[in-house]
Amino acid sequence: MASVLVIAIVLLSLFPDHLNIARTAARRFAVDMFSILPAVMLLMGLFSVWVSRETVIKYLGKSAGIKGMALALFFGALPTGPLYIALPLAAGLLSKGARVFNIVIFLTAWACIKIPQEMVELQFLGARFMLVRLSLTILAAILMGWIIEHIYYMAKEKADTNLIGGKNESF
Amino acid sequence: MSNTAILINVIAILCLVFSLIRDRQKTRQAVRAAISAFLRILPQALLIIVLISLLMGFISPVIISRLLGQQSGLVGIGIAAVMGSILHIPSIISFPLAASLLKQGAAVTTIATFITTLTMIGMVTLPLEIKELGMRLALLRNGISFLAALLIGLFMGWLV
Repeated sequence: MASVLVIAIVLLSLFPDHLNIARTAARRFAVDMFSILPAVMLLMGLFSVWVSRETVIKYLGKSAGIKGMALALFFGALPTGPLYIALPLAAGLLSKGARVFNIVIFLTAWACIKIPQEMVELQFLGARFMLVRLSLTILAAILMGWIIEHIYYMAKEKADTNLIGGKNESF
Repeated sequence: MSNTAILINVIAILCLVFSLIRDRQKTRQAVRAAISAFLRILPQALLIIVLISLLMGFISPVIISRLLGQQSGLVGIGIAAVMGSILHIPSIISFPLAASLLKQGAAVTTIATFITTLTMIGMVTLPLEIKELGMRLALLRNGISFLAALLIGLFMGWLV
């Protein structure tokens, strides 16, 4: 982190004409971020206290199946906020037992399929572009979720077996 | 404050009030958890702000248009994908930008890849993602999103 700051200071002092844009951008972004962040943190805190592990597992865990997928998709597409807001939410869900597959769908949906954003896309890029991209993205999200979950749990097993000690034959 | 921000804050406050009414103790716990989560995220958030201000300061839309509009074919897709991953533009800005690029003749594939990587992958937010989701999941998601974006771009080129 410190190194990034140093680089930033160096760059900005070398190119002072960029300083203003950078500063304005920083301020705008900081305002945007901090106007949402506390509220989201609060919601997360409430969530972690009120929503039990069982509930999360029931709706988003391994056994939830297609219903879980649909839920993840729905909740991902609903809000409009930058992706980094969703990250703590996803982390919270994961820690309560949601399966990786659904989390990937959730995050992907949040990133790409925000409903208001789709409206903007519709307006500027046309219905065809938007619908094709939307369906492709959903498809990709499902595929990605499946692949990522597979690799994730495979790697996890490998790591766990290594921890238990001794050689493991499977990989 | 944007509309979204207002909405989220209102919802948060409403939920807080409900929670207070139902159970004081739990609410106190929740608030404490919220504060600790906030503090946990803070360094990364600040880092992101610095990175983004650098990006915004040095890479203007003009440069982006020039880079994306001219190249086509595989090189173009590659550039679009990399740029989309690194950049962090709000969609309100990126969509009109994409539209104007299309009008100027950029390939659909390139633009679609750009938009997809732009939204799905964030080099800038990567540190936060690693911290929240763990290195494995963060890298997996971004890496495979990258591939997916390329594929989506290719398909878009055929279908649109």
